[in-house]
Amino acid sequence: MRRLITFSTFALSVFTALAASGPNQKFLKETAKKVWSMNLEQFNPQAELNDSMFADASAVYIAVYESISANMEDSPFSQPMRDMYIYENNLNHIVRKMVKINDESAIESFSEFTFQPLRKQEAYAGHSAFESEEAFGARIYKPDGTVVDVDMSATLAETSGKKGKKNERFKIAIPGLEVGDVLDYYRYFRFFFLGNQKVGITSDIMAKYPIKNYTLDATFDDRYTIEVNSYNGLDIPTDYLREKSGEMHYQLSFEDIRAFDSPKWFSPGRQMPFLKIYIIDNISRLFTRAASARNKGMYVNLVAPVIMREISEYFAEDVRLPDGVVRKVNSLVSDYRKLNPEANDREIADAGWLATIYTTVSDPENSYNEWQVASIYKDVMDKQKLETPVCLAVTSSRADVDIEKIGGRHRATPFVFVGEVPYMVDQNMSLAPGEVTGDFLGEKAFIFNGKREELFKNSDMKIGRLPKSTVRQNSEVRDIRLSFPEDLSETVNFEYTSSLSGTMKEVMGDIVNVPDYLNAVADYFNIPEKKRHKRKYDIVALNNANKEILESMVEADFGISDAHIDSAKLLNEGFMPASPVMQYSISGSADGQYSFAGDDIIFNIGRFGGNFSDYKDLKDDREVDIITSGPSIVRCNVTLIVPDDYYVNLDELEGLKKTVNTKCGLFFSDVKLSPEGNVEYTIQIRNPSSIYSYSQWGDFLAVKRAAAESASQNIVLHKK
Amino acid sequence: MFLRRILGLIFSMLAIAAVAATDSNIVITDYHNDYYVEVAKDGVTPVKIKNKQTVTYMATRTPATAILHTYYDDFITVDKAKAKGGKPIYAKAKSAGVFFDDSRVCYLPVPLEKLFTEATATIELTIQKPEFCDLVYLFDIYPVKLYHFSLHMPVSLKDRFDIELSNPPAEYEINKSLSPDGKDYIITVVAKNLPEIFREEDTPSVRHFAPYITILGCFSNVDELYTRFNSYVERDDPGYETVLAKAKELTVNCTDDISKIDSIQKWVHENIRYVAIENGDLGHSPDLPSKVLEKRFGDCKGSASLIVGLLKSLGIDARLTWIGTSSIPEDWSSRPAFSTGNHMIASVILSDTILYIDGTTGPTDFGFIPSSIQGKQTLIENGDNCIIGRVPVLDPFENTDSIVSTFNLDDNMLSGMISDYVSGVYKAAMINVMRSLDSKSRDKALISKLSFGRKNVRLSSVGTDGLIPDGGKGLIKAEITVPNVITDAGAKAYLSVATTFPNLSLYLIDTKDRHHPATLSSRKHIVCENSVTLPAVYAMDALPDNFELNNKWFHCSITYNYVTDSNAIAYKLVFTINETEIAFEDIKTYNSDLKQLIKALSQNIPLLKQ
Repeated sequence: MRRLITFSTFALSVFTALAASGPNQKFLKETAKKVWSMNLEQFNPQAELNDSMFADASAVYIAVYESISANMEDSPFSQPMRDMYIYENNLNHIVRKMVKINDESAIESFSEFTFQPLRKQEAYAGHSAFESEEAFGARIYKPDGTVVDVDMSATLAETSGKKGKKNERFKIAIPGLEVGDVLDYYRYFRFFFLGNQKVGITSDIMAKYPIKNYTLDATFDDRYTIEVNSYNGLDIPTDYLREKSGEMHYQLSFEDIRAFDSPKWFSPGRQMPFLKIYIIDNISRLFTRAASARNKGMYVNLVAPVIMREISEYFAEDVRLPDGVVRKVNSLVSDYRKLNPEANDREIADAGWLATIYTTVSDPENSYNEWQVASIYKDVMDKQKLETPVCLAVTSSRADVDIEKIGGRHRATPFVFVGEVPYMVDQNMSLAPGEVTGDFLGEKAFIFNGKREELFKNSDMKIGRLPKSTVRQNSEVRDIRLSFPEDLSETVNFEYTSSLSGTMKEVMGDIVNVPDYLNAVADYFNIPEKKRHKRKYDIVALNNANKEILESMVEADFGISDAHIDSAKLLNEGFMPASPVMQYSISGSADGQYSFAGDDIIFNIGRFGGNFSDYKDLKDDREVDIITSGPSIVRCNVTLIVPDDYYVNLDELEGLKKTVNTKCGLFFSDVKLSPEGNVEYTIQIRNPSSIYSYSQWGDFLAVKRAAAESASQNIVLHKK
Repeated sequence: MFLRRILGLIFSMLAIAAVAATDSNIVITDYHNDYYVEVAKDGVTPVKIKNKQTVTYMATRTPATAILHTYYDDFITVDKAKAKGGKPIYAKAKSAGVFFDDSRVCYLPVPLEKLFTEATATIELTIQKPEFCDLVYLFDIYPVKLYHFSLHMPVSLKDRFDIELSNPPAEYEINKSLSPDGKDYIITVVAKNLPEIFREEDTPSVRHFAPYITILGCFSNVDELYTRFNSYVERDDPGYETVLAKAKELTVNCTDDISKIDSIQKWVHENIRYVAIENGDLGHSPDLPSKVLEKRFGDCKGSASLIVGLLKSLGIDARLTWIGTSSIPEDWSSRPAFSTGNHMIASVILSDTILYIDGTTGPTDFGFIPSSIQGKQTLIENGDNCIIGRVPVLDPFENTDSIVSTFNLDDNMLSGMISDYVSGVYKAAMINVMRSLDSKSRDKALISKLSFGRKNVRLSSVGTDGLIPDGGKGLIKAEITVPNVITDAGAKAYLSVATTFPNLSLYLIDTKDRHHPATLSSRKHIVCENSVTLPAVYAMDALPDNFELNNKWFHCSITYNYVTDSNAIAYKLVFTINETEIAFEDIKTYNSDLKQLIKALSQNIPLLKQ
């Protein structure tokens, strides 16, 4: 089970791993005493595991138990002082699991553990702002009924530091673990934090092995703001209990959770059940403002506007921009408008985005995150006073939870809407202004109206969507010419050009060199040579890396891993507004694509229709919806030059003509002979949507299988 | 793994496999690597070695930061790490396959802000145990224009210490002389134009081709080295009774020594997990047999110790045995140094032979010897003086993969049964892979084995038989279908049987940007016997020609037969790898020969439509 704990508000980037030589034995003993004395009846090593979901599993979690408790105490800063009063927060998080070991692979999975040493950040001499520490303990129930406690004195301390005294992490190998044993183990996390911080705990409710019982038991001081969010169909209670004054108590339990198996075209963030709990000290005031816009209390599946309120405040108050950067960008855009007085709002917006990326990427003094980039762009566009509305916005990709349920700012992706056109940072720099990666297209967004600095306490926000794209916007067209060498040595020569638009450019990864991008944008703005950026790049190394990417495309495009490449060129990078189509060309030769039968040649022309190897071992059934990277169309035009002393019978090519058209896409292939007798083979594959219901799997599969089968299509070249 | 410390001393933390020349932005213009042997008051006993590395870097294309790094541990201290503008970073080192050790790494960033301007970094170390300092590599992760190695020692050690240079570079010079005052004896090696390090696939270990220096002298002969190794072995096991009890339990039904040895090695292989804990002396000291028995885990020394302990408790003459795997080219007797070994196995002294048992192989057949130790010299414990032996080299036929398939051709598809009989390395690999996988993944692994990773081959009803130690040949079987095997050509049709053969293209050596030799994993023997029964609509036209090819690395043949009565085609591939090492200059020939075989395997069989 994944366990993710996050902290925010304090600048916690610098932790101190304290000098020590091993685990805190006192902490280990205290936690062991506490955990092993828990009276949890579900932790029964003899539990019957009769349900079919447990059959044949390499391991079964008999029980998983999570306990979270958080309390708040006065600190030396607790006396109100202006707007400051700060509490000390103690958070304990216990994760205990009992697992039945059914085979050798499970022994491997559960026989080695690591845990973290004490880490501290000091607020001032001798007083911590933050501490974290982890304890681990385990015992083994043998089939004969004996119980063996794992000797934690055998813990090993991995160290670093000049003298090897700094603890990095602790490791323990579980001794004597055998098939048939039941392992009961726990992790005990202790956190201390001073003041207004936010702690997030993630629990995946499903795991690699089935779970008989999962229980969460959480108790919080009622001065905390607690957010409990469940995702992807996880049904949880909306109420909490007040068993005694000053406490909030939250419990949930599930039985018989099947093992989780991640299929293809699946998004864990959108489809796997999990739970996220945020514990927020919202009373302490360190910098005059609360960590959260929420009042104390518990919020189960909090509605998005409250979180969005925090985000708008973050844009307004916390995004800090280096001096002069907005001015520099604005100056470039103004110059552009002087040179292009007829430019419309879209063109100005595109220029503004290029200017923003140029200025931030080439800044030798500062590095910028995506919140800063969006803020700079928004500020500049406001200064440009476009008629089209310009709004800051946030969204989340289809790999993560829906934006309405993100639960925290750090999971949102900021961008700017100019009218309905989104401007979002593209790490690969291959998208043109206004293009966004496929995982965002069509996704919900929160849109903040108004100037950035006015967003604080501004509740003028609305839900919108990023534009959906069409198949035509995301296309790849490959024109391939194949020919035989004179000696017919089983090598085929190929040369092809591929043109990619929209999200299809993503397959090229970081093919765009930063200096090329900067130079192109500098040309676009007519920036004089002397005033251009001064950043230095290792052009040779970048070009070598590009060459490797391009050469690897032969395998990506056709599944041919050992081709000999003669030439690989990036003809157009596709990031400029006027030429948003990326284009590359590759030529070379590949072995093993044809064989002989007597004098005839059997040529595997289907191989050059595309690389569909991922589609070949798909299962017939599916239980979850299908999430793809978005609408797209791929077309391959293959021309095979038939040698003069060979011919191809058109009658023998019927098998290459196929159409599979379903609601989940199209596979189409056609073949004909040119007047010169060459073979012209065309394949087209269309994916019309981002998401399909699992009930459409049959339709989806039919298209993919047709593509897969096309790859083995041969044609015969007869000797004249 | 117990000699990792020495290997790591100068070496990159990268898994280095080869050396290649590239157009690196950063170059080392001058690398001084100086070692100073210090002796005890008696003037002849080495007590420590000081090392000073002074490295001068230069950026040639763009400003950059070079990294000088060095490993250290409980026996090596970093006394100084200094570079202008760079602050050393001390971190835990990660050793592949080791659960825990004491290795740490010091990274020293060296900013190179101006092009063609030199910047110098210095690291000074103290090696508290001189015997651990016996290997110095003459290369770096950047190309080195000029490399100076020096070994300084009191003149009293002149006749004891020496160096050996392996895989010498094109340009080098060795000098041995007294210092001007006559007090010190100095050995220097100056080498020029050394290429940087890059990873290449299928290369033998770096010690097979890259230049390195072995410092000899801590042990004047193999007996002295053995004495030192032996000092790490604790002889008295307080848990002896538990070991004896276990040995008796495991051999209760055994009637002779061989069956007892078999039973014990089998139990250790099946029940002792490989977990390497190698900090400090644990890197050299085998755990007591009773401790390994209790923990159910250990490293190579632990499993060897337990095998020896169990056998000895029954009165069988078993011995601890030090060995270097195939990654180390030298023998103990020619180069008595810690760095000549990296592994421990058990030996059983029988009346007519020595039986070698590697405790780390996981469950395998009795007598299985992994390729990594075949042919390697052994240093077998034997009281005060060791026995020098050698692990036998097994015949390639010991590692046989024998595939038998029977197909019917129907509707453009071959369908039938495939049976794959495995022995030796194939069987050991499959048994261990299956044990390491959870129940859901095992079928996938079997399918991958039978299909050789080919996705157009469909397999179902996969099962195994005898895939257990000592169960004879292991069998993996399945129902198989191969679609789209017929290419229509008018009155003829062509039957493709290429995907019914093993995928031998996996044995091709990647030559792209290659600079160094190649190695194949083991000597082995592959046989594939298939038959296809044709439907009545087809008749045999002409069988492809038989094929045979022999070279220094492999022997192969393909034969075809047509059985008229059953209208069936029978064809057979035999592929035997006899030699695993391929010199760099031979790779082209090797690949060319193998491609001929692959081409022959892809021959289509012409059929006549009836």
